[in-house]
Amino acid sequence: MTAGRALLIAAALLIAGNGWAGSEEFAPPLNVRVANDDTALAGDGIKISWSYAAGHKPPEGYRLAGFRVLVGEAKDELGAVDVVEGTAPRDLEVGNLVVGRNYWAQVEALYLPSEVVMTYDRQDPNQVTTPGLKVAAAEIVGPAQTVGRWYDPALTNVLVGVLLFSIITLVVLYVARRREMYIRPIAGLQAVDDAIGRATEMGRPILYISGLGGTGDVSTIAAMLVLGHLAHKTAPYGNRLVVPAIDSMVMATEREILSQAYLHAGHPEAYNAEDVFYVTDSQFGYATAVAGIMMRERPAVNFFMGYFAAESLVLAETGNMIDSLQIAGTDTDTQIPFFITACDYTLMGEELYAASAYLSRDPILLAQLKAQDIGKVLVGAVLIGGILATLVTTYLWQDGSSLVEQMLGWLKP
Amino acid sequence: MKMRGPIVVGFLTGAFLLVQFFVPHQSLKKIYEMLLDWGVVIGTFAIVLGLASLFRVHIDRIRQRRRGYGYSFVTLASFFVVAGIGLFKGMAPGGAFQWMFAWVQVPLDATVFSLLAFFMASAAYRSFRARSTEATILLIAAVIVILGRVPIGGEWTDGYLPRITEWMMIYPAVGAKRGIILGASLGAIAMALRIILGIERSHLGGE
Amino acid sequence: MQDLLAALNWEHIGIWVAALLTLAVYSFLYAETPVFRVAEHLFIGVSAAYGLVVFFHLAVKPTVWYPLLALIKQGLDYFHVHYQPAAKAVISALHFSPAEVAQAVNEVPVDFRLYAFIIPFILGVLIFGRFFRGWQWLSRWPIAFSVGFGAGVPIPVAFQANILEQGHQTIEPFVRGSQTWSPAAIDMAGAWALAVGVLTTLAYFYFSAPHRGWLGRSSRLGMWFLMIAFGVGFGNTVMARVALLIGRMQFLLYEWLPLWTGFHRP
Repeated sequence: MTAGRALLIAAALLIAGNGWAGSEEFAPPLNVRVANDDTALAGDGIKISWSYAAGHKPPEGYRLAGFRVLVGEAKDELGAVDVVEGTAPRDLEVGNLVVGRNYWAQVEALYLPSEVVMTYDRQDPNQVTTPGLKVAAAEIVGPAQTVGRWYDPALTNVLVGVLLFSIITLVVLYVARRREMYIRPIAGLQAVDDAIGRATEMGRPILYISGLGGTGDVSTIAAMLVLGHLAHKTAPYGNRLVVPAIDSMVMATEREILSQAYLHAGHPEAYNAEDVFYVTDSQFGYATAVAGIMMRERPAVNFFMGYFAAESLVLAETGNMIDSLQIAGTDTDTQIPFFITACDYTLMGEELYAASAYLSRDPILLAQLKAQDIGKVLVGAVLIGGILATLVTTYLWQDGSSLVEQMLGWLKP
Repeated sequence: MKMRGPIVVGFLTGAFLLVQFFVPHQSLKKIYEMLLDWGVVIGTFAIVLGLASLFRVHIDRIRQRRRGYGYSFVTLASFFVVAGIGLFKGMAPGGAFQWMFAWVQVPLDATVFSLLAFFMASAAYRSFRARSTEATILLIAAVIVILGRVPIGGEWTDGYLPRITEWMMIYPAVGAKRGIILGASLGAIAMALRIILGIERSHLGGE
Repeated sequence: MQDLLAALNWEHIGIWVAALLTLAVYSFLYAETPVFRVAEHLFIGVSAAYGLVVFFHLAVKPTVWYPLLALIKQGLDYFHVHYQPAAKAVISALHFSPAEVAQAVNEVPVDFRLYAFIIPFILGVLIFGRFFRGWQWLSRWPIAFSVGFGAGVPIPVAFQANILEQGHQTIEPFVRGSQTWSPAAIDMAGAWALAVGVLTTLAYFYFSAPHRGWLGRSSRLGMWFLMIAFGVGFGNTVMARVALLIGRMQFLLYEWLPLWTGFHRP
């Protein structure tokens, strides 16, 4: 017989033997309930509630110090999960459980000699070590099954937005197969042909830096795609593309992209795996290495595409020292100022993502830009609509602000 | 098989990660965590590939006695010393590994970082000479912010400059940055969709 | 040898090494000198090794090495039951591993995730397809996985954090009584400046129409807003970078110079 059970029986005897109010015994908690915690959408939580006999007085010299909650998947395998100090009974949410399992729970009332402060075991904060502790346990209740949810209603706005934008994208892609689309010139990308010409004339390599990110970063992915389209253009001229990488996976991907780009362009011999190499994954170690490569190889053109941090200016200013033509592209808004001041052309934010489509001139990829434009118009319309609605309801229709707040709630993540 | 297989893998991975965002159920979160671990496993193999490429560059340079091949010895030797100590002796504080971190890597990091003070000056000088409307606006804004953030700027202007600086920082500057973020996010989402749906496949051997 | 190593003042040696490396890096401002080149190559070697060591201890050991050992252990246990003699030797070999490793391996939960672990191992091995002529395409499988991973995660996250949230924060300053709104006219002007900045910047990024007429005008205004933002970003960073330079100078003056000159921190 476990200690818990002994206490339980003792508690049961107490209940049987004595009335509640005014009793001079150690009373256990009442009305213990356990249920799935509906706010834990993952299905990893249960909620335990209990109450305590109002007006009950502990025996002379003792006070009710708190409650201890035990949870387990079997009645005889309960483990303490929390100690709640204070006399007010409350709901307790227990997390980090496994979805779809049955859980039993027990609540104990903890009594301490008056004026004594509760002390805990150092290793296990759920064990109370205060001398003179008296425990009155309620009956084990349960089981309650944890239930996981398959949809989070709070994310409906995100879902609607993503679906809407995806549908727009797909519709535009479908339409694009049949229609020519106008795309405004982007200076940094128009300059790519000149840059290749310059490198060919000077007989010097093109240096391609795809930033600090790994394959998990969208901006790095964008940078790798631009590299592919760039290689397509350089292949006929036989320009050397030097691609030092900060991440091994990025290096592996760039090798694949380059070898295929040269193959598709009809110049498989132009691909040299050794020009795509890993340096180090340290931010400034990489920047130093690239600076050294620039000074020794004297590339005619430097591309900086992808995600950058403080090393951006080390790279771009070194490129300036050797008079390279420099084209940068990043969506890291903190680094754009430095590229703007140090590079000949800078693709800002969205232009980086437009670059691969723009360079490829593939109608389907270009159609993507149209979809992005529609997205921008929608975002702009929502903003203008929201601002107008706010102003109108605030200044003309005095009591409308609650309506606006309700609408704003839709945007709130 | 050569291309379709990887496209299916990319689609399944991307689509699962997209869907799991909306599903709070614990079982999907567990699979998500598992996929994160998978990424580490694949990354481990990739690192072997990366290091092989690093060694190859330097060993080739030494073998062929190319110009400056002596420096390659420095890279290889320092790599093997640090990696050897770190892998076999661990990263315990007070040990040789931490010594090398504190007296080699940290000062090198900090010094290269501090080069930016010089580079910012030269970059600013260049835009000063550019004389375009855009460069002028950029420089004026930069000068206002620099002066607005040093005590003397506030003293000269009776406290107006710091206030103008703050106003610029929290309103027009945020507006433009927000425009960049909004546009870039649409671009990123569109590109990610293109990849998941296999429309963009140049990383998988497509054109 | 041990005594000799212990007798050296490692902190002084460290300061000397750090100071010489600092000067070597600064020599880059003059030219790409051989001294800089030594520092550069040392930096590459040390930082690549450092990255490897940290990755090994913090990522590879818990997520790759221990599960792999646990998986092998599962397999061996199976063989142990069915083909005793063959497995015994390997099991005893496994037990050579230090106690902490043995314990870590025992703590790896045995469920479907452990068995599914074989998949990324296969994907990882396929990366080496690049080394074999005619089998290079195998490396596309792990690439597809990691790029697919990078593409799937940001779609909803970017939509939530960058589009909905940023839109919300653009309208909010106009709402009466909201926390960000104060009745000062200067803030109302700010709210307008912010909103106009957002809208005109979006106009600047509009790709599929010529930038003429009203679109041209708003995109030009957007460009100016962008330049203000970049100027602010530039100006904000200057102070921080100068502080870094001062930090390096202080190291040279106050830690290194006193070691070999009479100079002391005033």
